[in-house]
Amino acid sequence: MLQLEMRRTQLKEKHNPAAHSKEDALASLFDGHYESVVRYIFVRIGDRADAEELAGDVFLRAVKSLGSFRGSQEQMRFWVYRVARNIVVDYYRKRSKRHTVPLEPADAVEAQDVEQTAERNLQLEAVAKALDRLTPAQREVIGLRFFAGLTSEEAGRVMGKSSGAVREMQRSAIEKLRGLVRD
Amino acid sequence: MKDRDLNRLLDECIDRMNRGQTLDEALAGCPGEAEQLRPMLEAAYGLRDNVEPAPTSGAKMANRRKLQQALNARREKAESRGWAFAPFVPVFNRQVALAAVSSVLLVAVVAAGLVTALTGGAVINPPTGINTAGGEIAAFDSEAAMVAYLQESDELYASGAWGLGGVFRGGAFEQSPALPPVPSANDGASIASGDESKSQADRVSGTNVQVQGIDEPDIVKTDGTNIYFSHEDWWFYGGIRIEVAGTEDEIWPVPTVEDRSGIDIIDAFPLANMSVIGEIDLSGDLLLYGDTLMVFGWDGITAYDVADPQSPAQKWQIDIEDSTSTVAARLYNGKVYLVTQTWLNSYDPLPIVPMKVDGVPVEIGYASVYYPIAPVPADATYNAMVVNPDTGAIESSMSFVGQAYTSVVYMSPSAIYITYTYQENILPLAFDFCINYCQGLLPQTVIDRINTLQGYDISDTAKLTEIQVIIGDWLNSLSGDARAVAENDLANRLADYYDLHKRDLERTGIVKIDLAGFTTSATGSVPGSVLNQFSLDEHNGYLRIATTVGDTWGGTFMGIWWFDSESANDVYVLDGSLAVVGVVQGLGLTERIYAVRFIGDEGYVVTFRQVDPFYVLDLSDPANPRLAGELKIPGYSSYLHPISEDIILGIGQEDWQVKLSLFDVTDPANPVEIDKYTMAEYWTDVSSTHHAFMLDDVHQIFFLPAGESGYVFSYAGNQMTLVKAVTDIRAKRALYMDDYLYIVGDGSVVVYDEVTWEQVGELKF
Repeated sequence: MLQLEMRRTQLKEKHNPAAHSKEDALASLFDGHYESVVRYIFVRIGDRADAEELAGDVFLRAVKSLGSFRGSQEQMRFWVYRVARNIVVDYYRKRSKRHTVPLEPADAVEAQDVEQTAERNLQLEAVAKALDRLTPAQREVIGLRFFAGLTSEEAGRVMGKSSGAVREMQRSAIEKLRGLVRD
Repeated sequence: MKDRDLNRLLDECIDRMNRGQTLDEALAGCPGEAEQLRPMLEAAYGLRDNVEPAPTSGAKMANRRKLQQALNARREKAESRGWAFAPFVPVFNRQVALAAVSSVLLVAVVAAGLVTALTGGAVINPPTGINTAGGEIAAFDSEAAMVAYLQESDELYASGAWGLGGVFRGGAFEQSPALPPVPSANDGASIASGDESKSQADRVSGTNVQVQGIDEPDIVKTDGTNIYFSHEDWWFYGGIRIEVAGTEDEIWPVPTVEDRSGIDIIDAFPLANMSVIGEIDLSGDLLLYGDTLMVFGWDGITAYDVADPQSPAQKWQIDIEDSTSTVAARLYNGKVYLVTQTWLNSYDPLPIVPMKVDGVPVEIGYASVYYPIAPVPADATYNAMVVNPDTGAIESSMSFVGQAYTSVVYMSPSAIYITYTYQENILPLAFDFCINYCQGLLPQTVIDRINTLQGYDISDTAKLTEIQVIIGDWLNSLSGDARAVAENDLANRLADYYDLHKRDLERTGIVKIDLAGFTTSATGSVPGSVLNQFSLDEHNGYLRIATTVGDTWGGTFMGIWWFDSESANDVYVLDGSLAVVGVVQGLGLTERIYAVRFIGDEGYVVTFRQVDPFYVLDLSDPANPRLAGELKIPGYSSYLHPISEDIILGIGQEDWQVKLSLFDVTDPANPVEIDKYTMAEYWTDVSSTHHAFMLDDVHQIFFLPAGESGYVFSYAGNQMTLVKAVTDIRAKRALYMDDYLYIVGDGSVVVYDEVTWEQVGELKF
């Protein structure tokens, strides 16, 4: 049944290039951007399993608020990131203390060469440490720009900052990262 | 180089890399700064590539499923509220459980056998061979009869005899199919001017409705002095951008999650002291009758006396029960006509209690519940009621059983038409397919077994299962190659057979309720399904209805896929007793209806798949309707509005942009697109509700919201010119009072003088 359902979705897209409703738009957003949403959350919270769970919540919350969403499909994309942002905020709020979970290597399990894995882990550890030294806002900019792939204007809309401010922040975040990773 | 410039270059490089360019390609655009930028980009993308988590596919699928369920539930709610967008979703709730069985046969073999399939592609008259049966209804004579009917219906449903288990309808671009679409309810109505100071405008626009004089609920209403505006809940994702003079900086005030639900009462005329003078802490669509403001909320209808708008007083309240949802409402001649839908418990259906009026339950007994004589899948009752707007009292009502969430309501000045779409019992066609259509494919022994099955005294459900078992056994007996060939042949025949019988599978029943006496005066049915209320229209005693048939994505039969049945679109003309007297069939083969408008003796139908055929139908002779002309253009229109006798405005989309077209239909045989305007917007609310559109024929302008902005176009000289664009007010609606145009947005109300187009007023919320 699931297969059948997916088949239909594909067909539907083939026949109807334009999404026809907000529901359709959200569903196709999921299909196209789910991974990016997971990555964005992941960078914010540093835990893969939680990130996937929260990504599911993002879309469910988006459905709830869909009635209030007014805008184009393009706008819906960063609206979803706004929802994601709020979900992350809630996530931290629920955890009395902010504890960071070390970032885990994406494909450590698959990596066959132990030496390579170890090296990679070291590298990742450095990255994780570096990320952890960024301010939450810097971390968010990194998440939105590099992991979610939003433009600085879109990232600005999500964060409530001007695109100029986003550019400023991303520069400082990158400079800081550079320094940290190099050290 | 200034820091800011470097920031910008860095930003551009990131954009390029996000679009897939390599580091070197991205840096090629700025050779002078490449050295500075390279290490930064390496650091950032090195980070990304190192930590990129690959989401697990299991979690993704689980989340996708949850999303789909939530969307389905939302659609159902929306449809029940009449704000539906797409009807396609159908099948998660109950059919999913039966998928194992029902997805197999269903589609394949369709419908009730009695009907001669009409070939598509041509215009056929007269309507010989069209099955109009299935529409007769009768009232239940006992509770036991009602229970028996519902259980039979349940069983057939569960058996997959109905319901297209494996078939999915394509997603049409739906306009609010159920709730309330060209003339305003009180378009240009003259309201008696008051005293010398003139507290009321003489010329006031109403909501853009389908039938002049029959008002439909919407988020904005006005009485010529006050504007009642129901804000919807919204979640604001950005801020209003403020540019800082002399710099390239902008300020985006930090946005918060805001809940702006509630109704603002705005003293709007005369303009001088425009202000919010009252509020109601509820939101929903509104109807205004005299001093009574009715709010159609999620779970009820609340009426307020707004004689003193500064302190609205509650008059009455209807609480809609959880089992019930509002399908449509209209206001006509001082009465509210309300159609609701109530889920049925087939084992214990009575009493049906859809609502409470001021706390008192409204009960519907079996004797006032009608049922289609030919059993249809029935999981709900549709209840039509006349409500007194002064008291909330329900003065008359009638109910009938039908399939939930399939109804479209159209009201003319003399009758309410309620449609329900249903699937015919497919068993007769299942037999017909196997026995007559599979000669030469199925071995005679298999056909004989199936033939014998027909005479067995077992239920339809059991027979369907048996057919599948018999064919399954045969397929299993074949070798791999032979089986593949057989499956392929079977799939092709199924597709052909389905195509022949597509008008027999899915039908739309119509119940006509005369306003005088509020009784069922006629019932009938036509093939196919309807898009929205504009799909129906009554003219000179005849009902015209446009339907789409065969709109499926294919299905499975014994696990065999077949695809691409050829959809088609028909227009039927029915007389006062809902018997079909004329038909035009086979419009837009492989396409689906996107918009319909009947105007007098003419009908206009837009179908769409890749190009937008705009069809003109001559319906002047009900018994001999004919396709008069057609026009094929890119994109599609999802709303049609006559702006003069011979000019139709189409609002829709082309290449992801909102498109406006003017069609000249002076010569019905040769409709011409005389003007076209493509907006730099992706979306207009007019595509989801006609209420968002407004036209002022005195000044020859029309309004539509698109994106966050409101747009006013002139159509003088049959040419569209942008007169005014009001940006960033989250525009929703527009209305006029005298020569002032009020553009109402969630952010503010902006007023223009329609003569000079100067801004003459503004109110910020």
